[in-house]
Amino acid sequence: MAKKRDRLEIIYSMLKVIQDKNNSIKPTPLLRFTNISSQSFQEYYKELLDKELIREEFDKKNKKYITLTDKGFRYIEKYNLILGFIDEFEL
Amino acid sequence: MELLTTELVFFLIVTALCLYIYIRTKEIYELSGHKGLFFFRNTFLFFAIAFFFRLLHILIIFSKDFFGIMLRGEVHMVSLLVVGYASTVALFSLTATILARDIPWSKVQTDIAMQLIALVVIIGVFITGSYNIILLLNMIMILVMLIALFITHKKKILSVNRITYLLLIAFWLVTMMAFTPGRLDLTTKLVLYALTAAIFISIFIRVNKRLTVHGKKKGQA
Repeated sequence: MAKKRDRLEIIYSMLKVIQDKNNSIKPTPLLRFTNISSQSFQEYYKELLDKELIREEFDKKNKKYITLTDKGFRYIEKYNLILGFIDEFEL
Repeated sequence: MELLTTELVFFLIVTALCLYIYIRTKEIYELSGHKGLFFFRNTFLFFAIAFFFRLLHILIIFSKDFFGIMLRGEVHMVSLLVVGYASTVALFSLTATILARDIPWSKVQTDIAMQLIALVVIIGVFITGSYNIILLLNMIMILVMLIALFITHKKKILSVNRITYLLLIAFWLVTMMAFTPGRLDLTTKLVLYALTAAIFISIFIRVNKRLTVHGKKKGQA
């Protein structure tokens, strides 16, 4: 149970950091703020990209920034609902 | 004619509830990709499919009495195979819902394994030509589920959810037995169908409440 909730929580915290930084943050500060190991961060980062919760954007100097997609915003909005449902039905 | 009406009403209620639960939980599953939610939704999708083909099978059995049409044995067998397949996947999904946290495989691996076992079941039904094999295997699954619950949840084996899920399986088996012509009288069937529908309704109410109350709170804030 703890593992599953942790996964949802880590995803939430990563997305929340991006949102709190005006929806634009570089990968290194995101890793620092998320406070997980570099290896775990890479796995979660890939998952978020694959699930289209975040997307990568590049500025004029070709520096990479991470922003939330609409789906990412919806995840933040529905996070408590998802947790509540999972708890209610012991999933 | 009362039998057909009973079956039709039962089918409409239960299938509508199953599809509602499946559709209503689509968004939270798509956002979270949660393994337990995947199996939870699959349970109701496959129950809906199983109930649809169960009704179709009943119509085929009684096609001569109701419609004056004699359908070929192959049609009879196909509907039986689909009922067997869908119900087995539904029951496996329900078992996986209860045990999702303890299943070491990914949801895709587990799903493939379940589909393969369901195929074996329908091959068994095809060879024997009897749905009793479905009932037998489903009963074995209940036993496996109970044993797995004892092994994995020694402290808290039974909860409201697990009791609901076990009742769901038990009543599915009863409704499977109930559709054999002449096995049960109409009154008994009505009671059994009402109890089965009540279980689905209780889950529907909880799903709806959980997903609606939050929305209202959010709207009020």
